[in-house]
This record gives sequence, C-alpha cells and structure tokens, in this order.
Amino acid sequence: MDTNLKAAELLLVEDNASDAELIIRALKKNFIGNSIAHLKDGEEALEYIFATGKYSGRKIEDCPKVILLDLKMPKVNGLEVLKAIKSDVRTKAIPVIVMTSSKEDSDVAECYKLGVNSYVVKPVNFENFSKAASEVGFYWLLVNQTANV
Amino acid sequence: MELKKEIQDNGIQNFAVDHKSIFESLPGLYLILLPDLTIVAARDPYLKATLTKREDIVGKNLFTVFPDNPEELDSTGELNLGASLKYVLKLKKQHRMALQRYDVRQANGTFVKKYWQPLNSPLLNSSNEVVYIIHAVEDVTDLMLAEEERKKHEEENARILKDLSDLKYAIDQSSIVGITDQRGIILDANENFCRISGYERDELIGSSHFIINSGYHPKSYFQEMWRTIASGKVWKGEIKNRAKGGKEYWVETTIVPFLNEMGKPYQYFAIRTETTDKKNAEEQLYRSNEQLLAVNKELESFSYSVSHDLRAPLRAINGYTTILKEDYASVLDEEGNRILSVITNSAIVMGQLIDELLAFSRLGKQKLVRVELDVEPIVQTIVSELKDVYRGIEFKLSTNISAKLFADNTMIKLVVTNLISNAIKYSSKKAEPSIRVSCKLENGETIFAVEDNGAGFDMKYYNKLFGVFQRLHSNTDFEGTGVGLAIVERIINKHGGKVWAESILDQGSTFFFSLPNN
Repeated sequence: MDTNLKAAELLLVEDNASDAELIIRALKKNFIGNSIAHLKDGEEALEYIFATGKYSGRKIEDCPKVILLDLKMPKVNGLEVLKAIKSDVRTKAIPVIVMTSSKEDSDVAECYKLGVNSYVVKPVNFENFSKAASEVGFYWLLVNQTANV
Repeated sequence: MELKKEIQDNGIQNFAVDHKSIFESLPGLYLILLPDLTIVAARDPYLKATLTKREDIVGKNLFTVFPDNPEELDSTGELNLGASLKYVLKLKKQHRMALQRYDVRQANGTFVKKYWQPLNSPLLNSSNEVVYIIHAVEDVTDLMLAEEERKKHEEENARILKDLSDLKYAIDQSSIVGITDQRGIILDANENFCRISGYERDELIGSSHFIINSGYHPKSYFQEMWRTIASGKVWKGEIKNRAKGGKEYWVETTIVPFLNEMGKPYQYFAIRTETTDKKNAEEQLYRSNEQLLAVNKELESFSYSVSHDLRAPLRAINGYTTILKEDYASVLDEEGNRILSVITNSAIVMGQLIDELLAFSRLGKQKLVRVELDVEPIVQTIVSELKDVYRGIEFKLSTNISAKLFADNTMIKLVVTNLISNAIKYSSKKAEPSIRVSCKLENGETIFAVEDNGAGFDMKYYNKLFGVFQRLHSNTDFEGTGVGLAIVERIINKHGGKVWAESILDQGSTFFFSLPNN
C-alpha cells in the first residue's frame, strides 16, 4: 500500500471506514481519483504530508493534488491537520476540503480562518453524499488550477 | 479749725434742704410712695430700670404708671404688689416680696420681660402713722433670664438624651451592636451581639474582636477594613464570623469611627445585621449556576456528538443499502427492493430529525440582532423558494402588508418559511389552495398572520400544537417532523413576542405572531 500512497493524487483522511468506503466508491464511480490514498487519522496524515515517521521515505514535494479531510478523528483532529498544512509554506498551496458530519458554526468559522478551500457537510442521503463527494473531487482535481508548488 | 466747722455746719443745714436730690442720685432702685400709692420720688437707677422718666411718674398712682402686661394673661404683678403694700400699710411692718415677674412698658407701648426682688418698708411719723412707703427693688431680670435659658438647655439636653436612648434602644432591638477601642478591643456589646456570638457580655467586653473571627476572610480583607476606619472613614462589608460553639454566621457590617476633637478615631461603633440566610441562598444560587453551566457544557458536547456520531451510522445504512440496490437489484425480487427503499428512506428521515433537533437546540444559544425588515420582499422570496420545494402544488397567494418587522433577519425568515411552508403543505389537498399573508400594526404591536384554507386542526389539541415532535396529522397524510412550529414559538419568544393559532378542522388555519414594537 505504501508504494501506492507515494503517487496519490487525492488524499482522503477519514477515520470512519464506512464513510471512507462510500466516498471512494462515489469518486471511482465518477472516474475521479485513479490514485486515492486513504489515511485513518490525523497523525498518519501529518506523517504522510510532511514525510515523517513511517512516511519518511516520501518527499514533501510529492504532495497530493487535493486533500479531503474529516474533522472529528482520534489523536490529531482535522482542525490540527488543517492548521499544520496551511501554516507551512511547503504545503499551504494544497487545496484542502473539509468533509464533515456537522455544520457547527464554530467549526466552519475556524476552518475558514485556518484557510480551508471548501467546507462540505456529508449528507445522510447516499445519493447526495456521493454527488457531493464526486463534485468536490471533480472540481478540485480536474477544474481547479493550482499554483505549482 | 473755725473754717472747717463752718463748712460742716453749712453742709448739715444744706443736707436738709438738698436731701431730695441726694436721694435721687444715690445708687439702688428706690421709689417713695404716699400711703395712697402716689409716687413721690424715685431714684435714677429705678427710672432707668423701669424705662420711665421722673416727670412722667412723680405725682401719679403707682399702678397707673406700672400696669400689668396685657399680653400676659396670668400676670400677677399688680395683684402681688398691691397685697404687699396693703400689708405694709396695715401692719406697719416691712414686707419682702417673693421674686416677681413684673413687665415694664417701653416707649412704643410694648412690654419688656422683667424680674424683680422687691422690699416694701413703711416710714412712720412720731404718731406711728405711715407717712411714706419705701419701695426698694432689685432688678434680677438678667439672672432670671439666664436661669430660664439654662432650664431650656437642660430640657433640650434631656430631650436629646431621651432621643438618643430611644435611638439606641431601636438599634439594639434591630441590630447587632458592638463598640471597640482603636485596637479592636470590645468595649461594649448589646444583647443581639451576645445572642448571635454565643458569648456572655462579660466574655466579650475586654476581648479582642478576633474572638469571633472565622478565618474565612483573607488577612488583606481586614487590613483594608482597618485602613479605612483608622483614617476616619465608614467601612461597609460582609463578614463571616464564628460563634462560641463554632457555628458560623454572616453579618452585613457598618463600622463608624467616632472621632475625637483632633479628628482621630478613639472608638469604633459597629452595627451589624445577620445575613446568613441570604448568604446561604447566594451560595446555593452560585452552586446551582455552576451546575447549570456544567450541564450546559455537557449538553453542548452532547449535541456536537449527536450531530457527528449519530449521523455517521445513518450514512452507512443509507449508503450500503443504496449500494445493495445498485449492485444487487437483479438478485432481489420486488418486495426485497421495496424493503431496501424503506430502509434508505427511514435513514434519511432520521437524518432530517437529527438536523432539525440540532437546529432547534442551537436556537437557544443564538444571539438576536434586531433590524427593521420590509416584509413584502421577504414573503415573496420565501414563497418563490417554497414553490421549488412543493413543485406541482398550485396555490393562490395574497398579501396585505402595512407594517415592518423589527426582528432578527435570519430567524424571522425561518419563522415565516415554516408558517408559509405549513400553509402550502396542509392546503395542498384542497381543490384551490389559497394562502393569505398579512402584517399590520395593532396596539403598539406588529401582528403577522398566515391564513390557509387547508386541513386545519382540532382546537382541542391546541396545547400540543407548538410542542417539539408533536404532530396533529399522521405522516401518511402530511409529512413532517413536528419541529417547525416549536422552532417558530422559540424564535418568537426569544423576540419577546407571542404565537397563537385559530383553526376549524377541514376549513383552514390561521397562525399569528406578534412582536413588540421597539
């Protein structure tokens, strides 16, 4: 799996296995994300993005084109991951889309303050959920022009 | 020698001739009367004291010249003097009168208060008949007035003392009173002080005030108190003390420094009122409030958790069932597919319920920002949005709006959306659904109403109408979660307004809310 991760275009940080599976399915069904890396918590995400710990063999420059980030995760939560990404010059250009269960006003405000690129609430309805996931992937992977890092 | 003798003889002879003028200029207040009380002669000092002139009184009757003061109804001057003179004439003996008030008439006719000490003496001839009465008086007015003044002062002092002792009594009855010296040694303690502290008066007096210290307050608290009173200022504060048995009590204390003539405190007068009950209630309130804050915090984290953790499994249920339908529809029969639909729909409904419940619970925390709002555009925007939601339902809308709303923009839009959405929903089964929205001023309030010609409800269930998750129609007739009107009521209450409704079953309902106009 590690070898796949190195070349990932889309990084999905999601601790909930079902949500992760549903998101990945929705993306694949819409032919988005040939290479998706799925990490299960914030700590692993930070190691991956900053090429430390078990990902020390990676290069920071090999960054994903987009990161889908859950907020509520064990150990290191999404807000902390977002903060780390957006406050480091090497990573702050990576588009980060927060996908979360709830629309707590304080969370939304905090995310935008930290520089999130988009904030998406995961709907219960699967049709809407997969639509949301694939639209996000489509826009940020295929439409959006990122600056060369 | 010869010359000297001659002078002496002349003098003696002349004295006989001059005795009248000699008498008149001698000191002492004397008046000579004939037995019929005609004034014969008067000394200058007498004239001066009685404010008279010799030519005005000599030859006149004594009482003509010195009448009683008509302003003083109970004057006894004339009466007493008359009696004394009668005594002298009759008994031919000297009579010393008691101290008399006998007012004197001034030139302008008014009287001056005067006190006299008179002595009447008869002057007898050789046949032992009274020829003259010598009326000698001493003017004791100044003395008497001073005495009167002294008495008045004494009475006043007595009254002040009584007032003071009355006041002391009142304070003793109502308050805990203690007096200490500059070092805090108790000099006096009233009954209340003894009762509340549990000490005998003897035990308190002479002890340091520290005897009732509870140790509750930091040292700095009393340091500040001492600084204040030692500088001559009044100190007020609440103190927790400890009684003899260890029981603690609170007192609201006012300490008044008594200052000496140098302006330095020599005693401290402390008046206290027990406030133990009040303090306990305050502490209880504080604790309850702390608990409430804790519960609120718990609730907040609960609702946060609900919104995250409860929705995730729902997404899984819905998602995997959908996958099942997509990938294995051909393997399942019609009934199997129907059951999958029920599962996915139920998950969606539960998701909605969670969302609405969270929205409802969040309302409590939200702050109101009141602004003046034009109602017509709000209604039109909401109706056009709702036309999208209720596609296929044709309804007639009429508005009659003559007032503005002073309310929170977002929240009031939610209220209006809920009311109009209900009106559309519940009239959707009528042949010609019709909705009327009005907003007008009435008795200083803005009254907003949404009327429909829909299904209505039975007024006997009115008390359930605005309850959370309460519904008056089944889900098969009209879909809904039962949160909408609860949200409406909560928002309007938050604005200080009222919500109510009228309805006739099968004929329609009208929902109202009123907002105060300020």
